[in-house]
Parts: sequence; C-alpha cells; structure tokens
Amino acid sequence: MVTISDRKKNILKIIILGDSGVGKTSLIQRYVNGKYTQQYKATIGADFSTKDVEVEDINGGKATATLQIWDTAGQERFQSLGVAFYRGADCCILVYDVANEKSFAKLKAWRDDFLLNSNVSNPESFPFVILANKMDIDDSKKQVSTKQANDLINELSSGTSGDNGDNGSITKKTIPLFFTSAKGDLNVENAFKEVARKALQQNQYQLSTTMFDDDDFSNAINIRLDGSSADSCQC
Amino acid sequence: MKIIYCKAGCFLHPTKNLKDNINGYIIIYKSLDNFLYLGYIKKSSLTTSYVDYFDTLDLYFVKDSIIDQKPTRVDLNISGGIDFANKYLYYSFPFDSINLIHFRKPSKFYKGSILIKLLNSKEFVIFLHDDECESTKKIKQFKIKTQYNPFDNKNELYYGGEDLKRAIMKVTPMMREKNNENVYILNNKVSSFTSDLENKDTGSFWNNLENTKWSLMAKFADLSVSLTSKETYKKNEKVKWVMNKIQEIAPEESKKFIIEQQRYLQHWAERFKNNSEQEGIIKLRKIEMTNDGKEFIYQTERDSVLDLNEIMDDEGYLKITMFELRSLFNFNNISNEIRIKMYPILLGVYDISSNELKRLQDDENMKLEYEKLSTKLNLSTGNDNFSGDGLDENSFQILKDVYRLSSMDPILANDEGEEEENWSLSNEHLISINRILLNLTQNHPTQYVQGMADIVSTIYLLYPSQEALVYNISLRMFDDLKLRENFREDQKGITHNLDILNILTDILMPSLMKKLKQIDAENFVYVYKMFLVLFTRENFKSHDLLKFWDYTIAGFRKYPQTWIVLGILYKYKKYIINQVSSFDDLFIFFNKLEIENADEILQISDWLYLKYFNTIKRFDMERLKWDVDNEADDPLGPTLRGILDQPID
Repeated sequence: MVTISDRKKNILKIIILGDSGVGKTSLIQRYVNGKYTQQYKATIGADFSTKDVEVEDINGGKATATLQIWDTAGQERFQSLGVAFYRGADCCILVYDVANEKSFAKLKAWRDDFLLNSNVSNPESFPFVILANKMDIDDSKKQVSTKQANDLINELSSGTSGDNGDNGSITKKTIPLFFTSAKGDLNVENAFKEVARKALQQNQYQLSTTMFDDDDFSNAINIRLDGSSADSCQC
Repeated sequence: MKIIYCKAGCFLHPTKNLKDNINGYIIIYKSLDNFLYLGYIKKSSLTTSYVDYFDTLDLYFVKDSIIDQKPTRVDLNISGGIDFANKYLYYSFPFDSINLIHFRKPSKFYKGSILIKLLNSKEFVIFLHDDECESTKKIKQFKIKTQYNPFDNKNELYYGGEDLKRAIMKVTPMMREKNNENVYILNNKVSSFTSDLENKDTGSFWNNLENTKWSLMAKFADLSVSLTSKETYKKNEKVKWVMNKIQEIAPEESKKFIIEQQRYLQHWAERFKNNSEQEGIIKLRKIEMTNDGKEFIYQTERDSVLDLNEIMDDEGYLKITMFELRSLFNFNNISNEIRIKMYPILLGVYDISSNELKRLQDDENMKLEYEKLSTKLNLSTGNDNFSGDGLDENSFQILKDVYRLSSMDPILANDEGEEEENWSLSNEHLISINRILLNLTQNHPTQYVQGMADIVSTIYLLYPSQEALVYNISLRMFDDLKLRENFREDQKGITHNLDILNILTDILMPSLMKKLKQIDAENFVYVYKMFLVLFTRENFKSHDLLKFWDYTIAGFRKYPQTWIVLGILYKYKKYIINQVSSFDDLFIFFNKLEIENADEILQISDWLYLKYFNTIKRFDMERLKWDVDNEADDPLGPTLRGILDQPID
C-alpha cells in the first residue's frame, strides 16, 4: 500500500506496459539517458529508471518531481507479477509497435490487466498515455494505421469514462496518443512530458482523496510546489 | 537414564562355538547428563524382572514401525543411573565416539549383523538373530501382510537392522558412504582443527583434502543427508497401509467406493501435511529465535583449486569421486578451466568415469544426434530462416530475444547496420543460440519464455561454437536442475521456490521476515529474477556470477539457488530492516544491488544451511522429551525436512 508519506517524496510512479519487443526499454532509455541502442536484453519482471522533471501542477504552477519509470516484461508469462509492481502507480503508458499488429491488438488487454491488478481508486479516470512506437520504419512495413489507432483511443476513452450518455455529467477522459520513435528520437520527450503532467494530476488527486485519512496531510500538502504560489497566481 | 530404543535377540559371537554366544539387548539411551549412548546389555546378567522389562521394551518400540500399534505404556526411565550402567552394560559407546556402523543384511549363511567401528579404530560386531527377536518377527509379519507385492521383485525380507538403523537416525545424523550403501558414517576421524594445523604447510590441495575432507566437506555432507527420512517414510507408510487395506477389499466393493476412499485419503493426507507443517514452522521458529545470538563474520576467502591437474590425470580420468567433485564445486572457488571441463561431467553429459578420448567420441555422437534433432525441427516447423518473417509465435519470441543478446559479448555482436524491424540474425553464434533454444523449447509444453536466452547464452559463452554440447548442458540444466520449472505457465516451480524461501527466512531471519511483512513484501517477487535467470541479471563487482553457477551445478543442495538468495538477504538484512520503508524501496534496492563478494555470500549460504540443520536437530532432541503418545507425529513434515535432502547420484 502506498501511503501519503511515500507520495510526499515528490515521486511519480509510471508503469510502462506493452508486448515484448515493442520498444519499452528503448523509449525509457531514450528519454532518461538520451541514447538509443537496439540491444537491450528482454526485461525480466521489472526494471526501473528515474528522471527529475519540472512539470506544471494542477493550478498551473511549476513543480519538480522525480519520475520513477517502471519498465515491465512484455511476455504474457510474467503478467501475474504485475500485481506487485502496479501498486501506487500515478500513470500508465501503453506501448505498441506500429509494425506489429498483434502488439496493437493487445493494448486493451494490457489496460484491463493494469486496472484489474493495480487497485487504483479511480479506474474510470486513471491516466493512460498510448505510444505508437517505431515510427521510423518504412511505411510499407507499418501494420497499424492512424485511423485504427484513433478508433482504439475512442474505444478505450469511452471505456474509461464509465459514461454511456452524452450529457457530459462525467468528464470523458481522452487518452493521449503519441507517435514516437525511440530510434529516431521522435516525440519521446513530448510524450513523457504529458505523462509527467498526467501523473502529477493523478498524484494530487490521490492526495486529495486520502488527505482526511492521514494526520500527516498538513505536511503532505506542501509537496512539489517550488515557488508555485507566485507562479500560479494569475492576478 | 532414559531408554530411547531397545532390541532383543542380539548376540555377540566371541568364538566360533555356539555355546560361547552372548545373548543380549542393544539399547539406545540418554544418560542423566543428556548424552546419547549405544549400549549392549548381557541378558544373563539381568534379573528376571529386568529381562521381562527389556523384552517389553523390545515390543514397545514396535510402534515406530507399525502404524496402528498402540503399546501399553512403559516407564522408559530406569532408576539407578550410573549404578545400573556399571552393573548391566556390557558395552556402551557415546554416539560421538562412533566412526561408522555397517549394517549387514542376513545372507543364506549368516545372520544379519552390525559392525560398529569407533574413532579409536576398535570394532565390535553384534549379530541380530531375527528368529529370536519378538519385535522383528512382528514387524516382518506386518510388512509381509501389508506391503508384499508379488509383482515387484524388489521385495526384500525385513531384518532387525532396519529398525535399529532408523532408531539411530532418529538421534544422530549419519552419512551413507558413497561406495557402500549399508555403511553409515557418524563421526569423522580427524578433527578439523588438528588437520588444518598439521597440514598447513603441505602445499598440495589433495594432501589437505584427504585429511580434511571429513572435517570440511563431509561435515557439511553429513548434515545434508536427511536426518529423519524415516518420518517421511512413516507417513508414506500410513498412506500405503490404508491403500493396501482398500486393495484388500477391492474385489467385493464397487469401483466408486475405491475412488471415494482414495479421494478421502488424499484430502486427509493434504490436511495432515498442511496442519503439521504450519505447526512445525512455529516450533522451529521458536527454537531458532532462542538461538539467534550469533552473527556470521566473514574472515577469509574459501580455498581455491585452480589447476585442473589436481583433479584430472594426463589421460583425462578424474582423480576424485563424483561426491568429491560436487563438494569441490560447492565449497571451493575454482578456475574457469576446471569449470569448463567439469560442468558437463557434473550434469551427466559425460560419464564420470570417462577419459578425454571417450569424451571426444561422445562429442561426435552428440553432434550427430543434435543434427538429426535440428533437421527434424526444421522439417516440422519450417523454421530454417533466422529473420522474423512468417515465424510461429514461439520461434518469433526466441528470435526477438536472441537478437537482443548481441550486446552481451563482442562475439555475439550483430553486423552493423542490421535492420531491427525484421529481427534478422547474421552472427553465426546468435544463429546457434537461436537454434539451441528452438530445440529446447519447440516441442516442450512450457515453450520459450523470456529469460531462457540468458541461461543458454551464458553457457554458450563458456563453450563457443560447440552447439551440440551447449544444447546438452542446457537441457540438463533445464530439466535435471529443474530450471525450466521456474518458467512454467502455472508458476508452480517458481512459487515452490519462493515458498521455501519464505519458510527459511521465517525460521532463520525472523526479524527480517517481520520487516518484510510490515511492508507487504513477503511475496519475494523482488528476487524472482535471481531464480528465473540464475543470477545472470545481477550486478557483480568482480565478475562472480559463475561462482553462483558452480554452487548450483554442484548439485550438493536440494535448493541451491534458495540458499544463495538467503545468503544475499542475510548480507543486506540490516540495511533492509533499517533503511527500507516500502515494497517499492525494496524492489529498487534489489534492482540496483551490486554483489560485492560472491564468496562471502556462498559462505553465508552454507552457514545458514548449517544453522537450519542445527535447528532441526535441536527440534528433534526436544521431541525426544515429548509425551510418548505424540512422538509418532512429526510436526515438521516432509517439506521442512526435505530442505535438508542432498541429491544423491
């Protein structure tokens, strides 16, 4: 169980999921270390990397946080381990390989597995970000079209809203989609920026929902607002 | 003194004349100062009431061999103590003074007997006249009735040495001698301290080894032999007995009845096992906690054996036995040359008695067999290409992972400019590894799972270009060392390993276990990788990975990886208890962990093993004091005792 005392360390926990070989580790390495190689061994269980980022908080202020990115194994056999790693996540990245239709078809299953095992308190609004990776390859080899991707986004977004009507009573969450290439350094930084923003929102949401259960809240509320009161004030 | 066991119908044969035979009783007893002795009582020296008493005792201990035997209570404590011993004991040896016991089965011409050899080299022979021993007769009758199987020619006549052997095993560990299954060693002849001092300057490893093998290796080996395998047997016997009863009535009863009975029996056995093991863990933990004062202190590195000539002669014949080889890999640091030569022997790819020439012949045969296997595989799958196009799922998974091994070693590097999108392989070594993995997994229900490539590639780097040999070593490691079990879809293998780790941590490091429970980390998933890929993903400060492999491939422990992981947990116990505050912290700690000294970890592993063994031993000593009615049930059960089993060739 993740407690407020964990949260006040300014750590945002990100889980990255997707079939094996879609480039999860490469994306993380590109983002964290700014380098790319084809030769990362298959991830077993989970690995993790960290990166300090500056991110806009919910009030438009600047906040600094450490992104703790949990890189998971893609092979189905290790999925049962997820229960242990998913706990306390603030955002989940789903990755597919544009040259591998199967990896795209599995995205929904990965999303469902995460929601099933992470025990998040707000499954309908929990932030996901989808990355369509390996955009650098020849168009002739691409197996997933942009339209297919958008259709999936719509399906998943309506799935997560829990809203069947159009009355707007529950805010629909659209899942952001980024076309990336770890190899070509395409859109990776932008994607993770969005991930960080979403994760911070989720983190603050979690804090607000648990604040009354924790005596420590008076300390926790001060997190990551480095000079934010001045920055966020628009008057 | 308290009698722990008594056997009637025993005889000393001081001369060839029948009339000189000395009839008596073998007893095991505990003296007032709690030392255990093996004694012989001369029947003619006893009063009639004592004869009756010891005859009753002889029958009383039948309860240990016949499951439904409910003996009348007898007082096992003999008043008189030293006086009694002085007056009636013809021989008496403390178990600590016995070197070995040879249990000799009866033959066509001789009665069964036991030969007791003391550490001072004196020998005593006691004959077991089964026809004059009421307890043996009774047990034999019971065995014939319940266990005789006319279709199994393994049935051997029961003789009195069997229950005597089991009674001795109950009070002291015995190591079965390699070359004679009926000889059991109780104590080593040379004490470790004197041998170490005397041989310090002899230089040769083998001079040292000869003198210290019982003190260093056999000391651990003694402990490795399941102390009270009789307990397991007894439980099996219970089940067997009921099964036999069911079979007896089978012709008259319906099939349904038998199935129901079997189901009930299985249910009963499971429930019994679970309850007793749970109870056992609690008791063991209590015992261990009261003895938890000592800490491991690392002093010096283990002995190193670096020269292959020390263990192998010019023709390539091994100078040592398989047991010694296993000991060597378990307790010493060895050179890469020895490692490369011995892995295939330890794993049974080559015969222990082979020489270099024979091994070369074996290599040729192995290559032919392997080629056949590969051709067959290509025919059945059409997978003779090494790019991602049109492959089945298993082959594609393998290819992707093998492709990504190219950073592991310069000889595995793929050609520059290789395109990733079709995962094609150009490096001949990667192609070999890919083929080995296909052969290992394509027709196996577990199929390929990520991590298998790590194991195979590590072996490959020890034997580059020897594809058939690497395949055979990998196959043995997967199946004989049960590494493949860890990859099963139902998680049975890995779950079992983590369960054993949980049990041992609970017993040996209760304070750590308490911490792990506090942070929801008693599932041990953060060490999952260590089991799965045999430490190939760990960071080592001094390229020590293969020291862990040596310990595992040695086959000296039933759960070698578990003991290594326990060693690692122990090493970082204090840090985890004091510095780690959540499951994620712990996971990150293990993910970043750099193992500084594998030698130290392995010494801790053996130290913990010894600690566990002593805990079990203390438990058994405690159990001797329990109420007799409860003695038949072993709260530890086969799992807890089985941890001490040593795989025997």
